[in-house]
Amino acid sequence: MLAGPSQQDTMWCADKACCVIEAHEEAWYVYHTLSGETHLLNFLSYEVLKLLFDMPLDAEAIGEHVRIGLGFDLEDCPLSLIRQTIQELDVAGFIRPSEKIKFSNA
Amino acid sequence: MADDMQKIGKPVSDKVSDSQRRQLERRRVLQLGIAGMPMMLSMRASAQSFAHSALDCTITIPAGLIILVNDEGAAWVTDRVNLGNGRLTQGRINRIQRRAQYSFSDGTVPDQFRPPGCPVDEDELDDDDDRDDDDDDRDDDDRDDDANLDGLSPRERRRRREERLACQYALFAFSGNTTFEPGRFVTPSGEFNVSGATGLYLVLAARFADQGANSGFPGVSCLVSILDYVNQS
Repeated sequence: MLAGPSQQDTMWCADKACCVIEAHEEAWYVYHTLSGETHLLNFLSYEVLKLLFDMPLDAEAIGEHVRIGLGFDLEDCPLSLIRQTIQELDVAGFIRPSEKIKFSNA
Repeated sequence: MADDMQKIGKPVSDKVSDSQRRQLERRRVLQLGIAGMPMMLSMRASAQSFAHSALDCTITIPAGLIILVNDEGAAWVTDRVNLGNGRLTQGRINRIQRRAQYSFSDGTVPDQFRPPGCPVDEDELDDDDDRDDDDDDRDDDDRDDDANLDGLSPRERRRRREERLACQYALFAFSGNTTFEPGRFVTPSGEFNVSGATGLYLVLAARFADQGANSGFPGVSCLVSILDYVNQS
């Protein structure tokens, strides 16, 4: 039976044109051109945003890419933290659900 | 005591490379994130002024600063007590309380920073002897004058005393100068979201922030600056 898209399987994406980014050591100042707000991202939230500039990914795939890219294991960077970061980026308007939605079989 | 010792910050060795140091720092940030700290901060500033000075200020917690917290949520802050081997003894507790530059009443410290409190059946071990050895900094945890512990070996007495103190008191210590930017930990609603010894320091400093930037607690002017900015935005 084909189930509808679950929230956990949402594919996320981001548009690189959304933002003006200035890096300063371990902080990334990201000006969001649509909202006119500036946000201060740390290495994790910036890494997630950068990944989504390149391709749509769901939370699990984002977590795998982040852990490989930053050299952490699942204990350091659990999926719950990735989901929390996704939520923060979503609230700020940096990312949105992609049209490519992964369906799960119930 | 093991838990208490884990709360004591340790300076990163100079031998650690920059990349290792950065990875250690990042791991700490991730731990704070797991504890609920946001991974980004919304500043609501324009592109021309994205680095807002009110959020850029730093607080330096002086080396040797100690924060003692009891299970009722009272706290004592001092840098005038030598922790020596770091063990929590009745004498040290008395000295910290007597020499505290800042004291906070019961209920000040949030539950997350308080010791668990002792089980009721251990109350019978309470002694009324709060004497301590005045101004010397000797490790005086071998005092065995508690009548309620009669019949126990000296080692067992000490173990039970330490167990009792560990559930009544938590000790947070800063072994080196600790500099941080509290603006990184402030939520859009103006609350600080950070755990550990630094989080406790911010909680206590925020009490003084209510009294204004000149109330004397180290770093309070930075906190006032941030809170003013957040409240205006």
